[in-house]
Amino acid sequence: MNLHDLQRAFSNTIFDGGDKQVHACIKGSSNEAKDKRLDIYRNNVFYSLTNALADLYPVIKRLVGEQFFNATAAAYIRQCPPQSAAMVNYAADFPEFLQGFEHTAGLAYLVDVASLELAWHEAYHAEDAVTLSLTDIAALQPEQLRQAKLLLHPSVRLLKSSFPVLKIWNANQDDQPNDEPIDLDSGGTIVCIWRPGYDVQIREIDGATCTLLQSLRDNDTLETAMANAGSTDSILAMPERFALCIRDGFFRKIIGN
Amino acid sequence: MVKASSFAGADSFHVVSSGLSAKTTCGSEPVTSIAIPTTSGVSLKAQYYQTILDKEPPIGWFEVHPENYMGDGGAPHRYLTAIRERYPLSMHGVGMSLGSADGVDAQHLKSLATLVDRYQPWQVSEHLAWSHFKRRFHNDLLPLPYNDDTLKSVVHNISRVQDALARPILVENPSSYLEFNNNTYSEPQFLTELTQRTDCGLLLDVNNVFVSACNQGFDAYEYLADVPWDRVGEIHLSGHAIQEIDATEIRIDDHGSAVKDEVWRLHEWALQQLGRRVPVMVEWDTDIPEFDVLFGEAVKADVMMDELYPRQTAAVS
Repeated sequence: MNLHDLQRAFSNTIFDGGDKQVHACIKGSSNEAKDKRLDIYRNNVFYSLTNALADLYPVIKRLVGEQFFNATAAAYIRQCPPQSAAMVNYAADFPEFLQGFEHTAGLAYLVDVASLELAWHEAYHAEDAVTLSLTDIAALQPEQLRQAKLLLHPSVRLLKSSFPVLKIWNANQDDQPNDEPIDLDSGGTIVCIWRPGYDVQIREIDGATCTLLQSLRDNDTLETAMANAGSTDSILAMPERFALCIRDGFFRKIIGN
Repeated sequence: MVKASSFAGADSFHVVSSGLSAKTTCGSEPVTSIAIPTTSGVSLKAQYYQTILDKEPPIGWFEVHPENYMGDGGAPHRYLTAIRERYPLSMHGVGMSLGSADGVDAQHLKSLATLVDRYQPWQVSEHLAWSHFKRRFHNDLLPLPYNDDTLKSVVHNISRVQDALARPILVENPSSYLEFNNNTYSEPQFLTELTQRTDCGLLLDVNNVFVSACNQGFDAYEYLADVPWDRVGEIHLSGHAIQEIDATEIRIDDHGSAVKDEVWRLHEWALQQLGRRVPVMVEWDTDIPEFDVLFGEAVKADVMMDELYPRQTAAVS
């Protein structure tokens, strides 16, 4: 067997097991003995990928427990093997997997918590960028301000959920776990996850702020974005909702007038 | 193919001990001087970032897996930048898959080249192993048969990496748990062929030699007798675990404990064969201890080296 075919067969053995083609290529007293050696590689692959998944989704692991998490991870690893050697890119489709996986499909809140963890991970590794300040805004003439388009900070992620995901996330942090029961039906939330410096921030935002940010992300002018957000205030009055977005560092720069 | 007359760590080592820097090409810049460390280094783990910046321990250098810095920004780059300002750095890749029959991944190579350009490591190394088949990545170092078919692929892949980085790399001998039945080269013979055909250097992992020798039943000292010593630019040491599988003792290269006594003895013997100083690195990747424990291993490596080949004191100007 040439190297190409061997690697195909070996890869299939790792993920699916039982490929007799590989047995024919390796030394060993019996097929059982050969399987023991192949198991070492298989275990290493699944162990390292399960750890990578647990590093990215610690709250999911805490919510479902280690045993369930490891079994879910094994199914995920088989169905969605990594597409890159850099683990920073790994498992962005895990929330989607949880949605379709038969054992978690009924737990809709898990998908949203996983999406929050993914957003945290993406914000943590996002490109560094200086944030826009109120001084930058103050330097604009009234007409410039109305027509300004703002580029969101590269770390900004927005998440809408019909579950109290931030409450769940906060209660399941390693440094301050809280096992008080959380009512899943206590209402949804909208969360902004971003990293203005080196620490990831998370805060709840209201629907109007979310619309404002989405509208700006879609390249609308500030005036249009404020109108889309249902604001009757003039942008020139520096509505508190907008000023807070600036102070929190949701924006990177003014991109045009 | 890169036609480098020397690679960091081997013949250029003598240049370093006389107080000068080794010269190598980096990125698009024609020549950059990067000093080769004269004392041992250790793995740089995220758990150590703050301790290193606070205490600035007197250690030769730090080695990172470049894959851990392939995000766009944030804390990993902030810490690595700060540590790079204080220490020499080497990059030891685990994801290039030099043994892949379908070639190295262009995107991964580009990411590595960007990191090498940014952080200017004194050395870049990878493994004699494969980790991806087409678009499926295994996040593990998988074994290769040693024959002409494999040699062709690995030579091609190493050359591609060296061309992209515009510098020679070191290739590390893997630890393995099985042996293919269509080998036509021993591992040291295969590594010798690679160094001759690509001008790459060798990163000799003494623990890996020991682990593979135990698992495959060969003599680690005989293996070392065939190593192309003139190409060795770095040595790795680490701990390994022992597992009993069906009454057979298997050594697992988990980098999760102190270097074993038998491996220290093998290392001392290897240094005697080498006949000169070489940068030594102690790896520790799982069950990561307090920094001082790993630092202690590096000091132990320094003491052994100094006893065999005393440090030349720099001339005072």
